[in-house]
Amino acid sequence: MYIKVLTVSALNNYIKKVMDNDYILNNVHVKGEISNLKIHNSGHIYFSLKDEFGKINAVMFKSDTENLRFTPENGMDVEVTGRVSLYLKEGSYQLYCNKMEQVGIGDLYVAFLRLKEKLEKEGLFDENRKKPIPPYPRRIGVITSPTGAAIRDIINVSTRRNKNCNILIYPALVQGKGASQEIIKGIEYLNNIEDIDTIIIARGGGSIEELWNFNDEELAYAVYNSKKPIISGVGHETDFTIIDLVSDRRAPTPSAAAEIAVPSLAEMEKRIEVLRTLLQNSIYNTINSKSNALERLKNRLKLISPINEIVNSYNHIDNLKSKLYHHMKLNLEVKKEQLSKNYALLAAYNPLNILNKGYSIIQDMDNNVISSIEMLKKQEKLNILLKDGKIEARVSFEGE
Amino acid sequence: MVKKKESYEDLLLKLEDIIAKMENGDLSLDEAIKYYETGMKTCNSLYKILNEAEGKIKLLSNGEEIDFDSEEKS
Repeated sequence: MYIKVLTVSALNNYIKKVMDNDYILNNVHVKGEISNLKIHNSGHIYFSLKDEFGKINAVMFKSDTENLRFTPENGMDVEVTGRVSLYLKEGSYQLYCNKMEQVGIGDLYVAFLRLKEKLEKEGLFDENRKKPIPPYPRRIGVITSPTGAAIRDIINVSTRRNKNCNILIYPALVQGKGASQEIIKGIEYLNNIEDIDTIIIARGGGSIEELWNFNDEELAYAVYNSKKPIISGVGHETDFTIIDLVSDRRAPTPSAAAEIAVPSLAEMEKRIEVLRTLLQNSIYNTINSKSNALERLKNRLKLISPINEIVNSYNHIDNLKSKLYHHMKLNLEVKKEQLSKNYALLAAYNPLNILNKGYSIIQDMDNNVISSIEMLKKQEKLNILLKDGKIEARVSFEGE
Repeated sequence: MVKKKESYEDLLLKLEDIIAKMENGDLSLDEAIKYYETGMKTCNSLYKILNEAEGKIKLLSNGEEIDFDSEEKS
């Protein structure tokens, strides 16, 4: 029996035709777990779908990925719709997917949305009923697993920010059956401890199933009714749960929750230091301005001081004194001149002047002028005044 | 009657209020000095609260608070 020899591509083409004509292979729904996921630069997604016993290569073209409601990840359980065909170049068959849904997510997601809508209508998410987070809590209550990464992150961040911060851990299951009940009990318990000012509910990241306890309706009411403010730090950045919506503050991670709850010791100290400086400046300024006011008063007092009167009086007296002196001097000079005139006059009329011309005057011993022989005859002694003095003489008469 | 201990926040507000009064108000020297003294006392109380916090991490266990050692548990 003769068998025609085929080329490889002819064979592959034939197989492809058979597959493409198969109505089951043409439209399949397949359930499996994603592995070997590669999201190519072109936007096409290459991966394998596997279950316990086998796997199939699969591809999703860029045009189909646009309808995806989530980002596929390795390990995800998905249900895909597509067709099986042959890749001619490799001679391998693969699943060409045009739709992909996360298994299980559907029901939980719908339940989440329904609860969210209900609680939203009841006002549990209203921003204006949310309690402020105390800036300086005395003690922080943390509801979480005592063995998880979340509590370690919280302790690390808290003690880094403030080595003196006080924490009380309420140990609780954070996943699995009964977890939400334990968390509710924790909220009630911590609400009754006087010095707890802030409550953190924390859990590390996880799948939607693992975080499902945080979408519990009863827990939402417990958070809503808590008298003490609650910070939720559940999962990672992208995980959103009901408790995040109803809590007074949503932190994206447990570390971020600690960051919000615990004030930084360094900043607190700096604030006090700043206030103390302000206080000192203001007392300094007050004293300064009071002392300036006093200085101004002192200057005003100086201006109106009687010392000025006294100085003025001194000046006045000095003026008078100099006037007095001036007048006195003037007066004296006038008199002096008069005197010297009189003197000259007197000198001119002095009878003794004639002595200078060679005349002499004869006086008796009592200084009476003897002006006749008769008077002379009565004298024994007499005085003769000459120009250079007075001389005593004895009288003797000749011819008697 | 025991006066309720003032919280850190209350003290901080009090201090800020005192400073505002000193900065804006036309105070007599006596008043200013009184405010200053109260302000300095408040500063010290604030420091005291910061430094006297115990920094204790406790775990609730059967209704009792016990020391929590994260290293041991991890």
